[in-house]
Amino acid sequence: MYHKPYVILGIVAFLILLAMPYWVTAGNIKYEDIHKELAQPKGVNCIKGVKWMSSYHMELLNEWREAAVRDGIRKYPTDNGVFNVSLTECWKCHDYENYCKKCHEFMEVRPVCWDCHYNPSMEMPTVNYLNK
Amino acid sequence: MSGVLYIFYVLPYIAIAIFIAGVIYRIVNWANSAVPLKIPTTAGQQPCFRFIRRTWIDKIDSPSNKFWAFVRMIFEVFLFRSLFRNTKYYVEKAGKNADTRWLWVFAILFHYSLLVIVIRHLRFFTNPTPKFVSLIEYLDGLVGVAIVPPLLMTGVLALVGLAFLWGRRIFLAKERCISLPSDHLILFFMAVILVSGLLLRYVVKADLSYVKMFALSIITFHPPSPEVLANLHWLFLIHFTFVCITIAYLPFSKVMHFAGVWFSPTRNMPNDNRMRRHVNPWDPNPEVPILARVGITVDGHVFKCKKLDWDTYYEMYKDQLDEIAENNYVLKPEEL
Repeated sequence: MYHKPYVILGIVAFLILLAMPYWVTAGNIKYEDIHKELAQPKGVNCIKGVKWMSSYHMELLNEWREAAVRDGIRKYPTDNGVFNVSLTECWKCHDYENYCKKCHEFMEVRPVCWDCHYNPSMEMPTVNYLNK
Repeated sequence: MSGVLYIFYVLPYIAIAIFIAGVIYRIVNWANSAVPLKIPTTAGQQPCFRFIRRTWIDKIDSPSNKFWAFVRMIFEVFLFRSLFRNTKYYVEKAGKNADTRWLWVFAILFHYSLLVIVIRHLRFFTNPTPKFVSLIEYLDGLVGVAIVPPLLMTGVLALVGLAFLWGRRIFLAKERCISLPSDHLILFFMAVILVSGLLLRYVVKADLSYVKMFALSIITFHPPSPEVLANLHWLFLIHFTFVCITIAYLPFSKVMHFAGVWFSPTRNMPNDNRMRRHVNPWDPNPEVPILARVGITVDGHVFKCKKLDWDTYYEMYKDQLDEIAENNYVLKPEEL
């Protein structure tokens, strides 16, 4: 083999690059069954089917945002009943800290909701004029 | 049914094993090939009289020692400098040169987008996720300004880059002529991976919690529960399978240019022809100057003939020529 030290250096660099997930976390990768750690929701039925909700809940919130802000629609009928178009509707069943936030942190998803809205774990209370 | 799904858990290990073994095999294979001649390509002023000006760009383009050759290599690998000089590809009718540096633009877009995409995927393979991964994703999505979920720029740019790099091979006549099926195959793999990935993010959404649990199970060697495998989205499985196939295919493909670029003799040799003697590794007695030699030596035999006649040629390549003759091919010297 010609230029052996350089070639070995190259192969080692290649292997180190390949092992990137291990060294960026300093070997600290924890396998977690997130579904066992999430708080069980209180209600029976979610707004739509559970499977649909787990993938598309953000699309629903988008739809709600436009319906509420642009058209003033505050009621959302589905097969599972009529729901208020509000985030607090979610928190009637789901615990924010132990359900929404926990899974989002696990997934490293950072929704931009809280740039404008307040959530239960913030100091200011959510203004929920629907309960008046 | 659930047992069959464990194929998807085994698949990445097989693919990575083929990838690592294949890459190391090819690197060692290249490292074993001799470079008989000193052939650096240069585009700058080499060291000369002191009054001839030599800028740092000259030093990169015409490196005179190992350090500057290394700098040139780094520029080549990270900025694709030789591709940037791709200006004389088409000679038009009037003898005018066409600028084809758009190839450099789309190549660099595509490669760096892929790099960012790979780094962004670390969010599935790490728990907890390092800060820089979320920062890159945040910046990539233009700090969340456009839509929900944020439209990640690198995904779009990689698709644009791929469209041009593939379109170039399809619509330009000369490139179409020199494109091999394998060129289209790897671009096809990349297209399937990119499109399925973009669809998964923006259109057909998967339950990501199971995807991440699956990814973590691969990286921590912790077999996933049947529940996780059963809940994996079909489009994710297509995306994932194509990624595994591509990883396993890389050592056999032209994508090996990521290692091959370091071995290109025109790039990695310092331009020091007149300072240091380059010894041909195949030369059995390099001490004797070439012009002072009587003949050429092949496999220990000295052939004392400067002008090659048929008998000498036959002597030199006896084994191969006999083998050809055995297959009923007629061998005869060229008529002059």
